[in-house]
Amino acid sequence: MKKVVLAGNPNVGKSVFFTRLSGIYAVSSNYPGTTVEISRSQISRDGVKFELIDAPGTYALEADAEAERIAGKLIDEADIVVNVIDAGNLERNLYLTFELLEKKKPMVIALNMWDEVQRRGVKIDIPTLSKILGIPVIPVVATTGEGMKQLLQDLDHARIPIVEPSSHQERWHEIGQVIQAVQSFSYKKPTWVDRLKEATLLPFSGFLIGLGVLYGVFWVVRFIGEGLINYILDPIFYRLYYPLLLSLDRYLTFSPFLRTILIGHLVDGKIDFEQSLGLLSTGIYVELGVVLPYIISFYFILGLLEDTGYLPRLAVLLDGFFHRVGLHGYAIVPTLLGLGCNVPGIMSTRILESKTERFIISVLISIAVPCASQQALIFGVLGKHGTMPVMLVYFILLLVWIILGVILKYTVKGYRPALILEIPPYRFPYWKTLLPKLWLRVKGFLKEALPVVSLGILAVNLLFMTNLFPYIAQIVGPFFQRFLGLPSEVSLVLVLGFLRKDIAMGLLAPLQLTVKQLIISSVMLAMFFPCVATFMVILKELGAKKLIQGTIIMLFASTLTGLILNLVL
Amino acid sequence: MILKRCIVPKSADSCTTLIDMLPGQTGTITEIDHGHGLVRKLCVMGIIPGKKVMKISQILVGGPIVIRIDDHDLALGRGIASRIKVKIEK
Repeated sequence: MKKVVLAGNPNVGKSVFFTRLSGIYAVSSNYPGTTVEISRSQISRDGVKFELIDAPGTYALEADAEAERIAGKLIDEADIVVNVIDAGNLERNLYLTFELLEKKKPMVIALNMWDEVQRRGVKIDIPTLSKILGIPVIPVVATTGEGMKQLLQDLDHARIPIVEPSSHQERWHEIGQVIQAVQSFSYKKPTWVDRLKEATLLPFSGFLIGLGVLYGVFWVVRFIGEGLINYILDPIFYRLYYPLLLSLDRYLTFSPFLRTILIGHLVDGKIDFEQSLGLLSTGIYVELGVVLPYIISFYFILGLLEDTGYLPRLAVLLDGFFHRVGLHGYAIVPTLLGLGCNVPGIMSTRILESKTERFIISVLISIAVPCASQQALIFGVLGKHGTMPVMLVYFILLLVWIILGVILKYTVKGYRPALILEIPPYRFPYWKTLLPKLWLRVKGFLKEALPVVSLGILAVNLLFMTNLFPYIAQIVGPFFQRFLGLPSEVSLVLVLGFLRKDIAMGLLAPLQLTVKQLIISSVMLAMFFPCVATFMVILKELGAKKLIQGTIIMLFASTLTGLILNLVL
Repeated sequence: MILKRCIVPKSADSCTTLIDMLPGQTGTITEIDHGHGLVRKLCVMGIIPGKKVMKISQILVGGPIVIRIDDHDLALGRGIASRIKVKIEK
């Protein structure tokens, strides 16, 4: 089976191109030993099978960056190279093309976004380009599928080009000559649409539009997420799944141990999806009934922001702010996701380039970004005391986020790459590319998070059977009374918070705390141990060492905040 | 030689950096005063001496500089932008 490798710059529509050829049957996996994700798929044409591999998007091959190195390796292993080029940005794209030509592999060029180029009044002489480079050049529109059949046919005509290796300067010089020979512009005056597009990047209007978009994103994510829970998932769980579990529960009476593991403890004589802690009750419900709906809604909106081209603009606008806590503008993605659920928030830190950044943002999310269920219970516990206490909790958490971020910036050493970010033109999103991408991401989440979180719930369930939790609570109880001004029962609630924050918050209600005590406990609950699911995902993504470091920071920060609040409020 | 011309600015057609350029102004990149790694990174993206560049925007709170090269927009951190020297067109 011949290996066909797709190579190209970032933002040339390569993944859309890949999805077009492969459908939704692609398999994504990390390149061995790295965090760089590679998609593979099998395609067949006229009965001939090809293995299609999507190399990471890069500007060059010879470099020190991990993604470029891997792209280079994949091309060395390829039988045919398809160089995907953004036709609207021919000059810059040709740099990589020249490097690819030097690899001396059979190659074809797919001139993508051909429709966009024609709209903009750019003319490219394809026969001449093909003649100069010595390989077939096929105009395509990946989003609509135009030209893709022709491209598959032309894989047979892929040719090994004849080029001499050259230096950077020589290459740019040659590219300049090629461009002069094949490309001509007809100048168009900027329209009001162009001005509006530009406004999203100007200092003042950009910020206003950015705030509007963020607010909209937040609103739509909650709308879709809550809609899925209330109208689809909860009915399925309570009407269909619950009776199923009940009959299983009756069947399992022969083995109390197995029953506790699978179904969990009964709460008031009933199976409780949130508190029973069985693999089949809480384990399934937390992931599919609580986390999954927000995953779907968030990734849908994220895909929309990516495909329209707004996301890089948002990252640029917020870069200055995030820079102060040692991060880049793209850190807005995990932060936003974390406000829905910390688990995908931490998984999405993969879009950040360096390990240092990933650690900082993961710590900030798990400590100072309350997830949807935490927020629901902040409202639940404090809401009846008015808006002020609720706002105060949010304000304190924001303050903690900023202070902790600045401290981490100056204490965590490591590589932070300088910002060089391409801003692609605005584009119209297509369902046919948006939905497969959503499906791939949701599938990825289920595959990666389901096993770890189940394992975590199993572990907590086993711990619960021992007397460990009340024992810990007994030890730290006096400290709570003396320094935090909280009754010692709260310590048990905090320890239980490790399982699920919302359960813990619910347990606060009957303790009859004062408003001050409620504020301190809800801030500490939000900051204290992330739920077991988040904990497991940090372990998986960053490793045990980083998890322990993060836990120490968390214990220190939450205790200190509690102490200060007790003195100040 | 280029370096010298950039260090001693001369009145109107003076050399300046992307930071000191005003939004809306266009110019030509004369020199990138940086380590080899970054110069290469910029080079493969088409940011090389001799290129025409237009400054679009300078984001607030120490944010990046947005420039347009070859009809495409790029954002550069301030650290990098301060080391890219430009001859402003009148």
